[in-house]
Amino acid sequence: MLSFINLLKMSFSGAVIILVIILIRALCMNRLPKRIFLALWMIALFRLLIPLSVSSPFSIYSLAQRSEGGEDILNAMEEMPAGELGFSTYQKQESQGEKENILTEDVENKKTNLETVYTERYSVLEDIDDKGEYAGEKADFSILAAVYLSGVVIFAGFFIGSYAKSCKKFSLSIPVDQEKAQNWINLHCFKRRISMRQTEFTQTPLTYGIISPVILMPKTTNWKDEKQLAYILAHELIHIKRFDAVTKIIMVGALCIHWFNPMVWFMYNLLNRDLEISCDEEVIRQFGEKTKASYARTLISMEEKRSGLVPLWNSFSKNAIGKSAMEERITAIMKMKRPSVIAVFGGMVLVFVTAIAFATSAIAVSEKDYLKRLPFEDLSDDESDKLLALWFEGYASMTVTDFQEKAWELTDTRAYMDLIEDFSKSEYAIQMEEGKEADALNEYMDYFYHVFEPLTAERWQVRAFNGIIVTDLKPENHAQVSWEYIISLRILKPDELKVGEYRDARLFAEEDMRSFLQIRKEAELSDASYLAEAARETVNKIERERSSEKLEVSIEYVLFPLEESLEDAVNVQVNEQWDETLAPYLEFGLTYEYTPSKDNPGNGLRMFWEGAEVRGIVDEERGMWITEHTGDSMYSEDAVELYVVYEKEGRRPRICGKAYE
Amino acid sequence: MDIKLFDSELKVMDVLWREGDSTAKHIANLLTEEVGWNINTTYTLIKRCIKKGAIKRTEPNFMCHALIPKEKVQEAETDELIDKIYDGSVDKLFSALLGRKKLSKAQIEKLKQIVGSLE
Repeated sequence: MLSFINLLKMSFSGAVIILVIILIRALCMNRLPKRIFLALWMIALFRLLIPLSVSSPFSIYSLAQRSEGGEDILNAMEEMPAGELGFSTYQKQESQGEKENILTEDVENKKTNLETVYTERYSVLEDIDDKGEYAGEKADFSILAAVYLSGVVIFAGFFIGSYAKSCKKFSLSIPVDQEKAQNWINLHCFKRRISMRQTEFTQTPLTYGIISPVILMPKTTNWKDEKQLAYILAHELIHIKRFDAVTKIIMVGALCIHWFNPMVWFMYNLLNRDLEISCDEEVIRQFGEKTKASYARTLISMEEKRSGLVPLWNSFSKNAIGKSAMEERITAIMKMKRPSVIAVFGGMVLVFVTAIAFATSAIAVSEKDYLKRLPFEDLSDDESDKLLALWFEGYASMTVTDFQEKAWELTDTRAYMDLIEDFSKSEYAIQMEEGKEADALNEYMDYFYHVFEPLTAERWQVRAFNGIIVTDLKPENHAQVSWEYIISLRILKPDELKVGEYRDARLFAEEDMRSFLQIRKEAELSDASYLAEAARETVNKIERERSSEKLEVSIEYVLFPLEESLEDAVNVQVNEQWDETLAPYLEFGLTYEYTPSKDNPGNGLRMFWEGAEVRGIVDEERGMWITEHTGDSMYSEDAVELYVVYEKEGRRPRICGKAYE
Repeated sequence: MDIKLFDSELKVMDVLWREGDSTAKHIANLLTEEVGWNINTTYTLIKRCIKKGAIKRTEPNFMCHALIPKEKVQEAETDELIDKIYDGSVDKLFSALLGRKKLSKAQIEKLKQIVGSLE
């Protein structure tokens, strides 16, 4: 579906160009050489048909990027479904690895409390949901695609059918036996063989055929009118020389592809007009400016002759917006004059500017441009600037040595170094909403902690990066596998190792580990020995692959296979608690069993004493009433309540039971 | 009843009137040389003439015989027929000197005026 988005992009920018050309045409039609308009239309055709694009800072799309309103539109386009990039505007310059939202955690600070285990860890194994969403959007898209394709087929069918029908009729034409006409053609050298024929199936001279062009004359041609013949032939020969037949076919092709775009229909109409007008221009140029009127009158009389039989009242000839085609043409012919240097030059500039402004796409914007300040409260603007200045443009392709030199030189002052140290020690929660700025901030933080700080620290040669990966098996209280690891990077050749390579070594190693775990099926995850073996193999492989003579990668880890589920773990705790609470009474004959069930966690304690079920234990001395719950219906009829009685001497408790009343 | 024939069909009849009864193949070969049509085109035309009742076909060898004399043939009124045949999109697919739409007298007058005023 990527190409469909591209098509819409192309159609849209094509429409913009067409609009611009229509405006130019409306304003300057008779002041510029008509060839300029042909050049402009070629730009539009190029935009409509060629998917390649060149980026330029002068493109209107680049300017739109900078302005707020434009940015909103471009943002909206980027949110097109199927997750593909809408415009080529936002190209990340650095590696794609930055997209992850995993944060490396300082595992040393990890608390062992059960709650924290399940809330503080981040895992990225949740793509499944996202994919589910995409699947739905893709379905809508295929209906759209079907409608689009049928449109293409219908229009293509219509045009091809028309063309074939006409060609069939034309093939019945008869060669023309007129010497003078033949001579005229022979005068103009053409590589291709041009023939002239006549038929009653046309009322206007036309030319068709690309490889062996044919000038088709109507049967009603007055062969004696030499002046008229000269004009006709000159006109048609220019069409042949310019390969206008090819241009027209390309236009029709673009129309079939962009049939949904009304601007392209306008273009279809106007391009054809401009092909004729520029042809007229060339004829006048050949015959001389003075022949303008004569040429124009020739056209009119030819028109008159063929329209002659049309009664007065049968005169609706729909005008397109503005003048009719013929009117536009005659006017243009009469207003033609030898183009001044200004006009020619101005025209060329116009074409050039239009091409740059509208046919190019926006320049790639790096993440850096979106982050103007670090949004942390206790940082002053100056401090923020200083920190952001650490984010060097093109850092990835610098060698480590060069990078370090630059960094140390920049941060040579005590204040700067203190700032960096404070910043790296503080813990910042990122609270930004999603968007370009948030992404940029994430990227900056990632850069700071994983690239800048490690490489510029005192002991930069070796650095350990901690991390943790947890599975995300459903349902929510399911047991999970957790994999704690330390990736150590040892720099062997800092003058050869690129910073990007350093960064990617760790990133890709993590990714490889993550995908290893992601692919495992649950059965594999439960099999502790298998998992350990597979993990070891994978890690060895990763170490080998990511290491090089410039950088050594080693990974230590601890892999915890599927634990008991949260529920189980909780139950174990509860169980332990009951053990502790009831321990003092055991010597008096209390027994109990704890069988938690899924429905009532915690409930499931049953106590017994001397054959009877115990409802609860009252221990006034301790001020406790130990009971599972207080409802009546849960206990059997002869359940007892136990009272702990403390003997006065020695304060040893003993239990006596009383039946519950 | 007068039979109306197009120029192309007349060309076929011409051959028959000149040469007398001939095979379709013979006519086709002649016309390929004279006019440049391919064989299929000629055959199509012969069939059209047969349909119009201008030619009779006899076997063997697809012999063609002209059913009407030259004098009796009337040139088809091309005007009325062309309206039906003329394909609207022709001027967009091919480079036609004049546009598709016919102009009214008023429009033609206006064009003449434009020339006059801008001369």
